Amino acid sequence: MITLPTKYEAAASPQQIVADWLLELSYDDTTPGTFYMSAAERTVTNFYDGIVLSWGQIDENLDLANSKATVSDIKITVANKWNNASGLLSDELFGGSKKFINQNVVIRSWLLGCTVTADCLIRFNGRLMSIEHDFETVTFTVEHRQPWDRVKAVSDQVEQTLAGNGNALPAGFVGKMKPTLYGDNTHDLGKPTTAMTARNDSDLMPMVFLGFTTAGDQKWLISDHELEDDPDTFDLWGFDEKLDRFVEVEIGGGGITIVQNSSTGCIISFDPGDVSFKDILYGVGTVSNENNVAPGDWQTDTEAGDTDEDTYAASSIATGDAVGTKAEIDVDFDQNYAPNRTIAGVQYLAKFRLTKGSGLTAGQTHLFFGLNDMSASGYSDGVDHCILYAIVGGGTIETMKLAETMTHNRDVTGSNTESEARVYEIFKKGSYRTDEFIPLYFGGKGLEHCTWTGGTALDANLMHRVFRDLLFKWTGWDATGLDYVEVNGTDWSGSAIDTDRDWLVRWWEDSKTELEDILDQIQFEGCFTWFFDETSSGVEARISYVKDSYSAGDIDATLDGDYLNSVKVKHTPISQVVSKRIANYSRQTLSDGYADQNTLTNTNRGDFNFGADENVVENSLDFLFQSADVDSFLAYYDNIVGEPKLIVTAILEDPSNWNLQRGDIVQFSNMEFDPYGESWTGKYFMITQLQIGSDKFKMTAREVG
Amino acid sequence: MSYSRVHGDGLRLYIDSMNWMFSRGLPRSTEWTDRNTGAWAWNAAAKDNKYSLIDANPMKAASYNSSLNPTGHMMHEMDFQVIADNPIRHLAIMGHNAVSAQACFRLAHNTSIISAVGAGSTVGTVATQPVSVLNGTVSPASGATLGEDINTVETVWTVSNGLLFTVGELLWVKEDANNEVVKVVSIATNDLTVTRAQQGTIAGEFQTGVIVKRYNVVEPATDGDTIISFSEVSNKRFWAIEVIPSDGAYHGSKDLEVGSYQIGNYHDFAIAPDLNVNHGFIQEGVNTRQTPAGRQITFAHHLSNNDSTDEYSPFRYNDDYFRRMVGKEQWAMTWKGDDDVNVYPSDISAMTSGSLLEDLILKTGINFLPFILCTNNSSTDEGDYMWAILDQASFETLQKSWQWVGWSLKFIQKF
Repeated sequence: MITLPTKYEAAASPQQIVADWLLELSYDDTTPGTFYMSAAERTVTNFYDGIVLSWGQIDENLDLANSKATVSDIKITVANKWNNASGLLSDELFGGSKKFINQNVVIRSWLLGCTVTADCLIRFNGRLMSIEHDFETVTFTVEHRQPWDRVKAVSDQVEQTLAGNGNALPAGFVGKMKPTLYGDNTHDLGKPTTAMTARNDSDLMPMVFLGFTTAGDQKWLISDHELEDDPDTFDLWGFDEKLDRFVEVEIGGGGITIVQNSSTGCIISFDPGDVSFKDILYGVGTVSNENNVAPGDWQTDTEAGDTDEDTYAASSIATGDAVGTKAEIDVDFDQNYAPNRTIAGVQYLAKFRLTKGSGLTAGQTHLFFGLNDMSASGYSDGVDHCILYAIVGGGTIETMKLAETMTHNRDVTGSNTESEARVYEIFKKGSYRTDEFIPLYFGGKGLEHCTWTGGTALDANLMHRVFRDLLFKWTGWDATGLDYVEVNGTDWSGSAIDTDRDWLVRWWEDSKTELEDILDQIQFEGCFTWFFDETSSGVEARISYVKDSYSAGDIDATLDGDYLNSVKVKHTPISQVVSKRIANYSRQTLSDGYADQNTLTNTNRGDFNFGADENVVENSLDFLFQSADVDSFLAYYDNIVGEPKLIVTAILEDPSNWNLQRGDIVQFSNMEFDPYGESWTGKYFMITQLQIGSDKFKMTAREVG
Repeated sequence: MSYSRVHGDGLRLYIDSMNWMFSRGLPRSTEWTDRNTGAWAWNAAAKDNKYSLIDANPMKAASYNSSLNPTGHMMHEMDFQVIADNPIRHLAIMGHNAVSAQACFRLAHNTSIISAVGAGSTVGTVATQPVSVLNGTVSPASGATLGEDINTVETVWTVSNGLLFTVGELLWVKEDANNEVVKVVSIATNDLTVTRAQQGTIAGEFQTGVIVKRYNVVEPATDGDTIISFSEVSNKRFWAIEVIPSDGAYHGSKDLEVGSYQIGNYHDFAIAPDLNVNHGFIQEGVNTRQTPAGRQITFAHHLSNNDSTDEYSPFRYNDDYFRRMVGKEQWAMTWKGDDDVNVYPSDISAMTSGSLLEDLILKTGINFLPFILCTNNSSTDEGDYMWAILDQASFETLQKSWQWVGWSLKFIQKF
């Protein structure tokens, strides 16, 4: 709810109300100033001339199905009369000494009793986009103004002065935009992740090559802002066209030199002679379950070499099994590795878990990786580990026989001595060097902390925080402090948004993009809506989202049917119901496609006679990358549009309710009729639309709980 | 029983001066103030605030948390900002449950802020008390008597039952020619410490057994609507309404609710309206639609002024809520002619009270603000009063001869 100015609130209480709007037009000449207009002369500080013939209507919308808030433009018609009677108003507006066009416009709601403009309620902030007139009238078209209007983001071009030699950027990198990166884009270098399995594509961010320094080092620009943590942890990758896949970058010798890492960007350099590349080798090894001593055995043994690190081969030794019970598994790798690189070394790695029974102590059951006893190496019992086992010498890959074994055995018997071993995956890395130019990609962490006022201690890794950061970065919009943005009617810091929306972001962009499109996408994926407060009531912007459940404490107002007019009940149009939603996520850098896909089908779609392919929507997500978060995203919208819900429209005749706004939760009491025969009791509605006139307040509310 | 007869020259309109002033720009937030606020509190609902008391909507009652502080006087003050030509001579308390909640009301005025209980000049005097127009007793007996003889200087008075009083109350004792109002300063069981000779009275001598009354307060007889009138006061800027326990303490569980307070002038018509007087009922809550087959389907959106049991239009309270009259009540009256001095001020640029133009047209904004229509100013039947608004957007007079004009008025029930 809006916090009303004191005198406005007092004036809003009566049933007999005198209401009007006040129009404030700004102009800019050598002495900037404002003009005021209204439907009658008003005794408000600043002169109000009664020349407004027709106020338009403000439509405020909250599109829950797409998490987008909008406010309409407005047309206002006034008499073409200058308040000092010196001539036509139209003479002053455009062709006179004062320039009103494209200047700020404020519309205030005035009630009798408001004596200064601060007593009034600001209803609309916009810009005067068009002035049309004839002899008798002037019509203003006022556009609702948002900070992101006509603003492009990621629009900082790489300056030539950043070139390695200070003179010219290398070919292919001239005109590039400085990339921006939010969230954790690291990929565990110790093991392949599912997303990196194929590695002929990934979600890594391209870096900008700035050329060679005079010392011969390569100089690279990573981002347009400061990056998190010690750059030694930067997770660099290259795309090797000869291998047609991404390879890890390891910089030895002098390591990485940080040229700069500040609010103006992060630039590194290194000696190309220190660079080696590492390629994870799969080749889907041949898995052999052999040399077992019964009853020891590996179950689902092929999972240890199927390139899927989430599935595993398992070996269980049960109570009563004899000493010496053993299960052994071999993984022999395909030798047909890319012939175009000279491998300088190979690392073997395994992801495994050993779980000892309660009757066993360390050293009484074993999991060997080659000759290395995992059970004696301090790895935690019952926990997944991924380890580097050994490095073998060089040579070309064609000449190497690559195989590794894991063995699970025991040397004690007795009760409660069972143990289980899992081998998720055995794989290896080949290391090589090349003098060829390999384009680099960044897999590290993005901006560490938010940059907006009040947010500098907050990690810049959640959707709503990133939204605010992008807004600040590209428009300069900044609230006075953290809590000057409310979430569902509560101060930001006291709200549940960090737990309700703890969904991590992984997002980068390196091309000039409409900021509004980016922000719309964050809101959609983050399942929240951001809108600015028009009122100057102390809250400067608001976030709204539908909660999983509601209780009495969430109610902003209980609307009394005695003071409602033209009440109508309808349901979500069938065309807007989404009975099945497919979400693609993990955007890939090279293909611009998406690596992963989650789906949610509404459990009641059959009740509404939806065919298999009817009312199915597919969304592509650019910010979410974790499967569980995507599932939460799907569940959020399923709750809203998965099935038809009640929609109520009504005119609110009691001006004391005119402090309601989009996102507020209302209930109804004392109603003339029940919605579709159901009870109003216990139903929670969110206001999704307001149609506001100078003396009218119409509401649309949607059932949310 | 009046049978809704318009009573000769007894037609009277009680007009709200507070909302008149608000409608002309006086801010409610600063000029209508809760007083003695440390001693009482509102209940928590959004409507429970000072504005609900003056919103010209008696059906939306504000609820005091009177049971929380059962001896605290609840008080509100109106600053009219004018010190002349503002005649006040009635108080209406609409939509109250004062009997259930055990409350009575005092109205006082002053030339400066009235911030303390018992302060200001209570309307009326010991000689000319306010008149209970409807549903109330003025200066009710407290139920206690003096428990000792009182001389002219004694300030600790023993009464038969001290529990019937609260600090800040103005008490009135009368014996023979002695008339004195005192203010209760403190209470110790049956001993009241008082300040003598209040409200312009003189300290006197009183004997054991003299009845102790509550000075010029009105104690409603039933829950509902109450009106008192009193001698005109036109030059006081500050007015206070003080709510006082009627029995020494408010009810322990039934909180006081008040729909609206109204203070202002009233207008008596010099002559009765001409016959024919039109009186009727309009049923706006019922719609009948006809199907193509000719069947009539009737929807009743509402039948009476309010179909719920606990809300009612003022002066139409009925314990049997289902017997509340249906539809909206309406009166149409015509005065073919009256002395123009009763209608117009001598100079319309200098409005004066007593003229219909100022008393009604100016103060209601014609059809903007509601008022109380009384068809018989000596009646104590609630049915002779109606919460009404002018059902016309214009007011026109017709001069029929020298100093003689006629006019028409239509009143419609407001809810």
